[in-house]
Amino acid sequence: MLSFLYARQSGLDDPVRLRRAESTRRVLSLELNHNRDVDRIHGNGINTLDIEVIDGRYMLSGGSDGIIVIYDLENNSKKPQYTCKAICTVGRSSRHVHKFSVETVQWYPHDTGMFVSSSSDKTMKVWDTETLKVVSELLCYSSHSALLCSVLAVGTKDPKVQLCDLKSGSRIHILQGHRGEILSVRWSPRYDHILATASTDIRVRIWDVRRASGSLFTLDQHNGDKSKASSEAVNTAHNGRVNGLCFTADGLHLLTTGTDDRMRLWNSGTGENTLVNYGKVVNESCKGLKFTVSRGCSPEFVFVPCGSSVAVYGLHSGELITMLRGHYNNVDCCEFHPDYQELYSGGKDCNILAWVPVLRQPGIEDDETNSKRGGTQAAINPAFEDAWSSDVD
Amino acid sequence: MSYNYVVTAQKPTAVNACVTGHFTSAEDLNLLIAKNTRLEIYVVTAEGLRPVKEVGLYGKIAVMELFRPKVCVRTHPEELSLKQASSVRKYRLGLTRVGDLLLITGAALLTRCALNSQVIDVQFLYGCQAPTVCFIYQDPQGRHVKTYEVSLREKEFNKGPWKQENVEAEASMVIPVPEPFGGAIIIGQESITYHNGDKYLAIAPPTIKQSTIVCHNRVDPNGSRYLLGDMEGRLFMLLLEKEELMDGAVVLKDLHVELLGETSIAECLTYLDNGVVFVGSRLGDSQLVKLNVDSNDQGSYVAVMETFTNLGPIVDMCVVDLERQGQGQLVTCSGAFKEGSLRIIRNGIGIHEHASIDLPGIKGAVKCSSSSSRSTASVLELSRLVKHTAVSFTTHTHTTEPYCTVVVFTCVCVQITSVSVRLVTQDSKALVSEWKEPQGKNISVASCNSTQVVLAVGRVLYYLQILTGELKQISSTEMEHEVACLDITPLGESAGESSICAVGLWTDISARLLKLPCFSPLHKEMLGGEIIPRSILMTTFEGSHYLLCALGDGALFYFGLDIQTGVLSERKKVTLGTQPTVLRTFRSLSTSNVFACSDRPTVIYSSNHKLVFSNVNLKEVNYMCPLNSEGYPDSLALANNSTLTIGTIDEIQKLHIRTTVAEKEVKGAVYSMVEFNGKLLASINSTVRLYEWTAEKELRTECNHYNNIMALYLKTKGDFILVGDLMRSVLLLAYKPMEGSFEEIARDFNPNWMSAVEILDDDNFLGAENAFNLFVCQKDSAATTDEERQHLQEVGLFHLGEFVNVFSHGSLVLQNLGESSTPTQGSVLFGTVNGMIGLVTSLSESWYSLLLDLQNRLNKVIKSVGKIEHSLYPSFSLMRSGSSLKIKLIHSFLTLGSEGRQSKLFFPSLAPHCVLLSSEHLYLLVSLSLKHYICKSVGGAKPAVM
Repeated sequence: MLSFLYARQSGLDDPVRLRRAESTRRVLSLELNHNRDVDRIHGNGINTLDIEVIDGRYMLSGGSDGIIVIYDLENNSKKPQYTCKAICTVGRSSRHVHKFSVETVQWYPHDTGMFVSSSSDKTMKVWDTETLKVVSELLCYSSHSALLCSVLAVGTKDPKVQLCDLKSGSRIHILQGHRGEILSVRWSPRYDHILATASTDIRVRIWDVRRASGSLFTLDQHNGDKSKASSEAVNTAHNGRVNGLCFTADGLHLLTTGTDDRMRLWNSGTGENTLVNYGKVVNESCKGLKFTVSRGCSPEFVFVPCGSSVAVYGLHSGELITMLRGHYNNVDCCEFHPDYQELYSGGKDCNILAWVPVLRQPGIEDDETNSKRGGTQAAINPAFEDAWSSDVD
Repeated sequence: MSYNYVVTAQKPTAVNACVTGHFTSAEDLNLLIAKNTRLEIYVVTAEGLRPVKEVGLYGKIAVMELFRPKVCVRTHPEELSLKQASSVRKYRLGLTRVGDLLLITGAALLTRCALNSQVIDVQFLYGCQAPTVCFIYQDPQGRHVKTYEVSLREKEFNKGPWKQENVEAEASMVIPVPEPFGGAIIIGQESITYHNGDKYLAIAPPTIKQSTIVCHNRVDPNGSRYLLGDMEGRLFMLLLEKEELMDGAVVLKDLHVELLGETSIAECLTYLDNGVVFVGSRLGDSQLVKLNVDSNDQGSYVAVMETFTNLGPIVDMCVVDLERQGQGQLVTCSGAFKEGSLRIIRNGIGIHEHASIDLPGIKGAVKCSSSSSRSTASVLELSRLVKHTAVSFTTHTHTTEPYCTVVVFTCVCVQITSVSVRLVTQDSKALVSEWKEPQGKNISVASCNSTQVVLAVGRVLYYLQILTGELKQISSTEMEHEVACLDITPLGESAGESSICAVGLWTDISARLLKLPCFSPLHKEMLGGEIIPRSILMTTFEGSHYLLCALGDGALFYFGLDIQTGVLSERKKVTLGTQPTVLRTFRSLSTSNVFACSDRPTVIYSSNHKLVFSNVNLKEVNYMCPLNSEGYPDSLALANNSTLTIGTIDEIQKLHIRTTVAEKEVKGAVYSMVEFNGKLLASINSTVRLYEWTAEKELRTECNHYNNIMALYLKTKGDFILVGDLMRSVLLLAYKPMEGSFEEIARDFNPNWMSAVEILDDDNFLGAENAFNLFVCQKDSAATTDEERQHLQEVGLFHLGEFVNVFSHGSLVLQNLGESSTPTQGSVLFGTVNGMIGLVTSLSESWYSLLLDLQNRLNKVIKSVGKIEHSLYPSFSLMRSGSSLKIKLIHSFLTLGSEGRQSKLFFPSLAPHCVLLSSEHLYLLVSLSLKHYICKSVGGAKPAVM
């Protein structure tokens, strides 16, 4: 760390290097921290989480019980230990509440004043954060939605992907091509007209929404090598239902997960399978799987719910780095906080767990206990007794 | 609300990149130096480097390459391409050219080549049919070299002629080799490899293993010699030995590396001509070195010709007042590795004392402007001459008190004493001609140049001309009041003869301009007040003429002067000292300067058509005259009541002391330590800890604060502590002395990766962060809720484009130097990685809005270099709201010059909605920027003072 600081100070390194190195170190040291709790509100499994990007302060959660909760992640306790408070809840008492399980919640990207949710009660609602009232409501079959600016892409039980305009609340476009239920939709963070959709028909399609015709291309796990695939498996992304999609932060790559217990990394520009081998990624979810990637690290990481734990993989190496164990039941979603390299995960055990990087503190803990004992041991203050030498020189 | 103004005191000095080529014209050999956001263009001449132009860009220069577009190859000089680096740089940017094809690489290349890996370096190869790029890239297996052909039609990359997998793990540079060899050299940590598809040749000379090679430059156009520079500042020559085959083809036989010698740690190298190499450095001073054929005693082939001061990287600094003159000096920790040094930077001008003689009762100093034949006079003679005349004056005081004006020209000098004007030959001291006042009255004041003498006897002015061997009275006139001071310094192109005489009068306290020889009045300026003018001087700075008039109380009026009509304009007043002031001109490096002798000696010069008043590190100077001899080149002779001092004007003082780090072992890394109410406050990893001294003089932990990720920076004010976190912006703590604990007052919740913090005042806090931005946070004490009080609000944002390492309270400028104090409060200096020193100062709201308005309007008028919009430059990496203040443009405005200002700003077609700035506003604006320019002289001020 000191060498990074020195290199930054003397201009040997781009300041971003220190940032990336420290972010990476922090991701690698993620653990379930006793300093951080998240209010337990949901009475049933948590399906989806979303942290807003403007202040990185508020997190949405949606549960199988139809409840939507907004948490404040900011630490106002003036102490390292704190609980992320639920600041508002759309509970059963609210007349706007979803009747059945909430599948997706998402903040409006430019303003925390609005968010959208979709539910298996065949509705999709646009909410006003201030009043927690529904601004507009769309009727569609069990949906998974992705929001970009004012265009909302909705994937439903129906193979057709619908594009809705938030301003008017009307459907503006329908993307046809899939032959099964849509399990996940995601917009590219790089180009705002590129959309990826995953379906039970084991295919992933990439769409350019400016074009009226069909999809740009379909991801092919064999990269066009027909000898490896049986005739019906041509142009398939997985050998099972594709239930998770996630673009990397730069939008150059796309990750997919399928019920064939595989995760694949694709070049999102060409549709080429990069053939990174992540091994077996256990995936029993029949619904959409919400997984995420790190941002600002080098190399980047993937966080995938895997049974009752969250698996952390190297994005490009495919190496399983660690399993974050803590949930009592299956994990359904996880969300990465890029500003502080923290991970929030929600599972069927109704808990949201915060995974926080371990602070660099050799000796600090000892010292804390010392000071609690009344500081009488000041003469042998650990700050002076050890031989821990820094790498100053 | 706090409004702050950010100015540059010292532009960046660290060199990022340099290129040589024909840029300004086909004949000129130019050196172009990139210094972060600035580009300096020099012409290489036999005498050295001559600056041509300096341009500022709204961006950082990442890579620089000269290229010549094909279409205009015939007439146009080479054009320059610059690549702007965005503040968040994901991949290393590359820029390379072949012929008229320019390749800009970055993330785009990666997508094109479908690589999941990092491109280390990329270059075009010579001698390929299709344009071919060669690059080193890294993937999890290691580093590889690949070539790609550029298909111009499809705008795609195709597989190239050759590739080499698994080259050295630290291979970092590709050097394309021109014909006849072709191919490329790959430089690694331990080895140098040559590849061209067929041939593969590797050497691993032990000398290069010591350090990492960081830069290279081709010496010969045929590519047989290359210069290499490493991180230890060693300079190597890489030689390509050739071999002629039977069929006449020339191929590479062997590679040799030779150590040439040691220079500054090079960031970039460029071979100029005749064995001269420019070594651009970021970590130390840049150098111009000559490569000699033979080695010197130390075995080095390198001789340093010229050194260009670089303050960067400024790792730390503090403001001290060493001479207790109420004027700060800045001590910076500059440089890195072997270039580490402490440097003292002072506002104003340092006089380096060479010799001094104790001579009590000096009444004046003599201007010994030697003619060319005497310029070789030895030290002894000159000092004797000075001494002689000085002594002779003191011995004559009882009879004839001279008015200290002796002009030496063609071996004749004019002596003006209180009774007469005498023309004396210099060698024999024989009297040639003498003029006395008809009634024998005493001469009260006089002024002369090489051909004219004007003197005053009471109210009567006489005008004499110096002819060969004769003094001839031409005219005389009687003024209304007694004459207090006179000047006939020739201005303009009048070649030694002045057509105007400037006069200061007693009683009505006026400055007048009279026409010579008839003494007809041209202009009369009432100075007001009751203090008489004591010294008047006409001078030319940067082509503009000025009249300066110093009063008996140390005040100075200055005016713009029209030498044709004698009309004065733009009256300004400054206070230089408290004693009667004497003005003298001197020239240094072909710019004219004025020395104001008083109890607070000041040098007056002009920068960007503004007069700048710069202090001198001397206590008191009564008289001054310039001196130029072999022994004391470009020196000044300065006299006070008792001593005559000969000195030269200093550059930045530089102490070559290696920086050392004091170590004390603690558990964890101590990032910052400050004295706090007699106790020691330290930040150790994530903890802020206060130590108190026990009776046994041991340190005992009093209290801790744990709620940080990594507390890197600490600043204190009273009981308040500002903590700069690695990645969680700033936090304000209060120390409770009664409880002996810390209380968290407020925090900025933005995820800023900090690089320096400072407390501006009780409510405002300044921070600098990773993405080259400055921001101001404000404590909202009046907030109603606890939560609001806990938030520090970001109220000001400013994109600096420089990585700030340190903030320090203090100013290099004496307070109240100008007549009207500038409308600012407080001053915080900052130092950056690239050696820039800047200043942050607070403004009132009305001033802020005026300046902001002006800035916005200027944005529309001033064209940026490279068409990079000003508005794009300060775009933050994160979207944030708040009032941002970016007054960078105002300085370009002030450099426009007064006519430029008028026309640019008030010309309706250019700026249809312009503000009408009153002249008063403009003046304040100028004085505001004066802070900036005064500070500018700090950095050695090569262009301005030296």
